[in-house]
Amino acid sequence: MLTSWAPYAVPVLGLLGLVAFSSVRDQRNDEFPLQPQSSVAVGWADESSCADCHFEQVELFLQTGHAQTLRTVEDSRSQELLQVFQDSVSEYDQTLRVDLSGRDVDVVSQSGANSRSLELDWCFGSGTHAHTWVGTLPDARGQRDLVEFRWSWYHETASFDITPGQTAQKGSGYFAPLGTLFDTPKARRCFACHSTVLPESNGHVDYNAIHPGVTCQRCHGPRQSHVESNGEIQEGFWQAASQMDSIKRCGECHRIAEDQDPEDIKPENPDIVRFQPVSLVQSPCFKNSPQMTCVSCHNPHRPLNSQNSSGIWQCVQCHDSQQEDHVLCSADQLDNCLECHMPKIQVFENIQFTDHWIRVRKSLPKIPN
Amino acid sequence: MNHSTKSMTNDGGESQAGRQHYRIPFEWCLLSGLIIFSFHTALPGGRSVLMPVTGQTVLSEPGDWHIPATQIEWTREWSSLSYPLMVLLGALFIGFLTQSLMTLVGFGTGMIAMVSLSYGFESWHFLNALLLTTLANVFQHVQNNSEEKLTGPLLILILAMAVLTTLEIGVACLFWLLLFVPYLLTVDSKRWFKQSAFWGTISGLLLLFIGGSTFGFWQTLIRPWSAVASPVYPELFDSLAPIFGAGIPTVGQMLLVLTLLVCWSHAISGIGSFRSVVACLSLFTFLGLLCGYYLWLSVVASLLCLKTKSQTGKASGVLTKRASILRVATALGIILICLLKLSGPGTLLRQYLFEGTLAAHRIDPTEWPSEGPALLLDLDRCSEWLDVQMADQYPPIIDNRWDLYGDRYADYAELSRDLKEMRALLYFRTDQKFGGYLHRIKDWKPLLVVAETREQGAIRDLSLSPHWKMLGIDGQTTYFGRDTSPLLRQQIRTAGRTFLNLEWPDGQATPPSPQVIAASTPADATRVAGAMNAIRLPYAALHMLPSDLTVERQKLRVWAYLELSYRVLRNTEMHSLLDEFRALRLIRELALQKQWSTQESQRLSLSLKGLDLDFVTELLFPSFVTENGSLVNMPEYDDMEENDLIRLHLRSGDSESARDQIEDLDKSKRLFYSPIINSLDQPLPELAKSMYFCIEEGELPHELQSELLFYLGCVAIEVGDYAVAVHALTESQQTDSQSALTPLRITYLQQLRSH
Repeated sequence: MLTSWAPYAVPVLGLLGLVAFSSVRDQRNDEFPLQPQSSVAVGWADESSCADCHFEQVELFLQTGHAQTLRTVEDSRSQELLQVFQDSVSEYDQTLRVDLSGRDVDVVSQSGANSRSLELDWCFGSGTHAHTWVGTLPDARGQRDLVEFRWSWYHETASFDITPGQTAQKGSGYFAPLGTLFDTPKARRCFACHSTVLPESNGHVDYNAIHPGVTCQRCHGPRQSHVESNGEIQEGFWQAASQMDSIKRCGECHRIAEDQDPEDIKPENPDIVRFQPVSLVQSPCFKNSPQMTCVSCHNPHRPLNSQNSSGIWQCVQCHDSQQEDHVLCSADQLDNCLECHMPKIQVFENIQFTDHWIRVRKSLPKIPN
Repeated sequence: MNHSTKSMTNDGGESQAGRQHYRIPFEWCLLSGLIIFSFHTALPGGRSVLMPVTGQTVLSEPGDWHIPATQIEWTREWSSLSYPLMVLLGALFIGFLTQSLMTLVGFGTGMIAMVSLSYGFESWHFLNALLLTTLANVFQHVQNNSEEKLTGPLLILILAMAVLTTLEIGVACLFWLLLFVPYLLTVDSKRWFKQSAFWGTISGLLLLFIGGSTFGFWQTLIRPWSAVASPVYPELFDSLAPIFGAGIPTVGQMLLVLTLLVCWSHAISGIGSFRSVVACLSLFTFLGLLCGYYLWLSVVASLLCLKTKSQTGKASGVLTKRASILRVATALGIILICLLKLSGPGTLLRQYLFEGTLAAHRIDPTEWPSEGPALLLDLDRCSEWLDVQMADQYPPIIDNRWDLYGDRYADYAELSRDLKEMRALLYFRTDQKFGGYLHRIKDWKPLLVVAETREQGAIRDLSLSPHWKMLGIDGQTTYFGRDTSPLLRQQIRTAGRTFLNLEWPDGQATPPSPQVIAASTPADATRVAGAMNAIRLPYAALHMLPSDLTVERQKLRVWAYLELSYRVLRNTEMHSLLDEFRALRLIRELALQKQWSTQESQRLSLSLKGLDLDFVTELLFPSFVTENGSLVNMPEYDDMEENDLIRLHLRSGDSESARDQIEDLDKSKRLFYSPIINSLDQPLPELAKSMYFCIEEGELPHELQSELLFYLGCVAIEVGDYAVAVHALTESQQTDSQSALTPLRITYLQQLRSH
């Protein structure tokens, strides 16, 4: 009896052994070229170590808009502005109040006996243009949606007004008096552009571990190996970046032409002014200058106000009146190039953007004083 | 018993076996057909792919080598067969193989082979299996009649058939070489060498000619090798992964591996024939185990190899009484399992026999008036997708021709990941490249995105995409369509209406459109319900969910109740006692039965945290909390007011404590809490009645009455009772219009009345 079962008993035992072995994952899977999102933080260095060697750059960089483009609601600047809003809220919306008394910052909309509230968590924007606050809401799957607060602070007017993209008329729904609800993918996109590292675990963004602001490694990539080798390892994105790679790197957040509907890319569309790389690559200057990128004019390591990013030194590299073979301005202007060729455009009521589609214009846009 | 003794004693049996060999083995065909029919459910009107229509993909190049029979108009009609015909052919093939194995190797091996081949039947490998069987039969013929003159032309014909009708020419060539070369090395005949040299040269020249005149033929020839050697993209092409390297194998795979092991066991025990089968078995075991796609075919090849090398018959002609009983019992056991599988609640057979109708089992996109490329997020679906009609109407962006387009899979996998995570715009990836699906989509212009229904995360993100709209869902597949396509506009509208009708009952019990939702079995309905809940339609999920209380369905109920709890909390800042109580009590019950996996408990802990119930995670999953080092503030029960305490007990699913607490309450409050505490102990209509009676008592304070009316409205929506839902929600609104529930009640009423 035993002998007749032997040919089947051995395979069954073998199969059980193989099933046990199956818990070991196949090494060939590691060949997948994209790291899982959970390991997005692999190779990231503690950025405090950047200042050890690049102290000058770091000191100046921390003053840039990029470095300050996201902060927690508890940040002093955020609290300062919310205090201003609290004091003057009745000018904007009589049903609204801001509660800064507790540990959390809550905004409450009271209509009759109905009250709706939102806890604010983050303050977006460096303040060069504006500051917008958001609250994040957990969902049943452990993801987070986002409510963009209805009121933003604008640098241009030094006052509060309705957040760009939101309408003056309040919509319907629970959050309508307080702001606009964004779903998880959209929320992730907001944070992805306003932070350096957006760590994810099991498909969920770990908001407690966000590195806010666009800092060193967001542009230079993970630099742990660079730090650990005391700067010996120099490999990185920028050494090998082509002109378009460079544009794309900035365009990751500032958008690139391929992100847009081709029909939207036209000079008369003021909306694309917001997306500088989209406009820039349409410019004859860009098309005729193989070296021209965003960093040709902007030093990303310095704040805008400490560099001459709006001067003429960039233009005269190709349009120099001292050089006979250079093409010169047909209007015989020798300075103030930007005023005609890269004017500021009023895109939102309180925000102007510089048009990076460098070109000869028939007429200049009117900017309200 | 040694080998020679057996062959001497079985002489009579062999002749008997020889006679049995040529009769139709009805019993094994029937059993095999029953297994295929039970475990490969499709509508009787459905079709099964026989020859995959490759080469019509967006990324394929004109002139690439594809199955010639699928490129010619009159033969491509045969690239798929009707489902019953395929079952019949499969059953016949497996039945004959089973009979010959039983005759030559033994009953047990034959039975294991029959069950595993039927259970794991793959219609797109059927022609390959048939060709291998023909090769094995020719070889057996050669062994028995060494003077046969037609062997050479016959082998060339088989090879030509392989070239014309399958992509697995390599497997056929390999099998041919593994059978014939060892044999030719052992026979002592110059004529054989001359013949094989002649026909070998002819075949070689034929292959050289085809390979030289077309692109991709050589790649097709070494397709099995490239399947093993190419990188694996588990999220894209799971079947290319090794069987024991990428998670626990499926039941079908385990059965097939068991059959391989049985083959080995026989090869090793039959010492005399061991050396002649070892090369064949080794190679096909290697192929089958390292690449799941070839497992079924490898098992067929291994069994055929074992069969052709078996010199002795095990069938004695006259069965002993014990053997007969064993056979009958095994057959009855299989029939019983199949009938149980087929006749379960809501299954096809039951529908057909008792209801006289067949509900749609799968969505058929070919019925939509549209055509355009399809982006399959799971390339394993290619084998089924490449049916002639589907391939014509919705050619995939890329198919399972890893031999030709394997180098594009990395790009495709990245696109697939970007789609699943809804990363539309440019972003910098961890591999220092730029990602974002929008750019690829512009190049490839897919009309459909085809996702697996079990991939709830991907479905949720895709449903939020501004570029894709859900078109239809069944137990296996969820279809999304490009939102800008005018061809899909009608289907997008119908789908949207169907989903909303399912979420918000319209009082007419309109069944969901079979063009949008197809879920005819409980398993399919459960998967569809999971997807509905993932796109935040919890009532639709509860409406789809079968009513039984299996663990899987109870877990889904938990997630639906949690989704509802979040909906109430988010829109009112109030905790829904009804939904949180039901979710948490079920979580507790399932935790006591240790039904939550680590991954599930992690997800639950995140979900409960948002409801301020993270202390329950610590109570239910202490090891998980300890490992994660999180410290949870336990509620201070002593400082709580009576009502708050009862509410907290209810929200945390602690019905015992809540029950104890309400004993001391006055009658009006007891009336409010009682139906909630008993909400899981009675059917929903009974729960609605008990809520109604409590309200009718008229003793509830108006804010509690309003809240209970709201819960009654919610239960009515769950039951699908439009009239009661509208009445209860309106009453709730009128009773306490200042309640925090107001915005949600208004939304619910708007949704219900919008039909």
